[in-house]
Amino acid sequence: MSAEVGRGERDLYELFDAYLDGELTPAERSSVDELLDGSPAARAELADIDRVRSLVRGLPAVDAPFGFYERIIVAPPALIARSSRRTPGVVVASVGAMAAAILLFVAVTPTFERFTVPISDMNERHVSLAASMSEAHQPAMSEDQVTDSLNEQGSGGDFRRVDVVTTPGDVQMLYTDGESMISVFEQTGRVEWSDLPVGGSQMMLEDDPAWAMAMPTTDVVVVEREGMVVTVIGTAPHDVVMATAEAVPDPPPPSLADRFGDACEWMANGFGFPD
Amino acid sequence: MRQDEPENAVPTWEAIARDHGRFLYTVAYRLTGNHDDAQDLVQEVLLRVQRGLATYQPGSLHGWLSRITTNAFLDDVRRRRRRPADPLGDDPDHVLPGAPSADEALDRSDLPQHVQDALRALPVEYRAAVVLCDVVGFGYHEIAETLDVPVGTVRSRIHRGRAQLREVLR
Repeated sequence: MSAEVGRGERDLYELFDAYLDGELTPAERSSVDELLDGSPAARAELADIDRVRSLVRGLPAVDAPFGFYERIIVAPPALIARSSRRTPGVVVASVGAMAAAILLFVAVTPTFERFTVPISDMNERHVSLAASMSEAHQPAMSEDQVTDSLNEQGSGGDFRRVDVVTTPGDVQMLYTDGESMISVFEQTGRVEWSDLPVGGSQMMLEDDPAWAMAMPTTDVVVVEREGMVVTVIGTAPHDVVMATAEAVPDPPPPSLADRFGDACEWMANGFGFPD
Repeated sequence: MRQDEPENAVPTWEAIARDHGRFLYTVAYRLTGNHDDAQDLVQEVLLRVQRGLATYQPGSLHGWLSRITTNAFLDDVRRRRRRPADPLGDDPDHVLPGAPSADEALDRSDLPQHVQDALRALPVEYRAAVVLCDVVGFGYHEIAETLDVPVGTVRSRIHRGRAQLREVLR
């Protein structure tokens, strides 16, 4: 803004943002219009504000990491509350509270039971959902809900999520690139490896234990990560199914420090210490 | 993003997480400026949503979610301010990055990130006002209600916030 701009004019310059946002009174608007009519400098100033305003308004939507919401839907709220990455700042001085917190530390540690992954049932659900989706010829979700996380994280083709089915035991997400269909099932717990069908092979996927098997029309990969079991079933090429299993990020479980801190914080609250 | 469809039915918590997650995450990311904090913020918002669904009045769902998100964000900022040991990237007295060099100005292939960085450098009060106005699409009265400040303060924060953005995004 020019240093030669007078005070009255400068006051009007401060209205430019509200002018662009349509938030001025009629009288204020008239004053600004009058200034703009006679001042190229004012018009340049307004144009520059509008440029920055448009830059912010033009920022693209941002997608959460692959599987983020699905894990939230599956996880119990208490577990969500403890999964923050923040380091708790409360330090409790009371020895009694500390001792009790140590006991609570054990109590709030989540335990994940081993269970049998229902491969056959999941395969049937995948085939059934994929068939109904093919018949519908229309994705069940709007363009706004389409995620390209699979593509960004290396699965290859132009996959997008077209349906999500939530059951009491798992969440099934169906992705398609127009030709192949991939279902990603997420469950909390740990795999009972010995219960998996005969014919598959165990392996390590990155640093996580996994199991893969080629079925008559689909490929299946099961991978266990930090208390979460991901089962990927697809008619896509084997390497795409494997890449999809690898693309699922680690869940954010509470760290030891978080759990200890939470226990301390609970006790602090219980004893009435200030936050 | 700026389209806000009126909804007549009370949504389920799962439906909000599933169907409005992208909107929520975008607002959270623009407020916090990084993915880790955005994920924490969205989790906190969904907890508040879960608790508040019983009292939700059908109407502008995105407006309701934006208010919860902004309040959760500002609560977290206040909490961190009370804990000086915690790193705080958005101190109100934060020194703005300087204007870009000629080379930097020429290289704008990462413009969205550049704009996001400039946004993150704003004091949180200015940032919240600008995000609610330009990302969520709120009018000044809605912003004033959300932030619990007079409309004149909203006008001032948006003006000052954009002025700082202009300095960085020359």
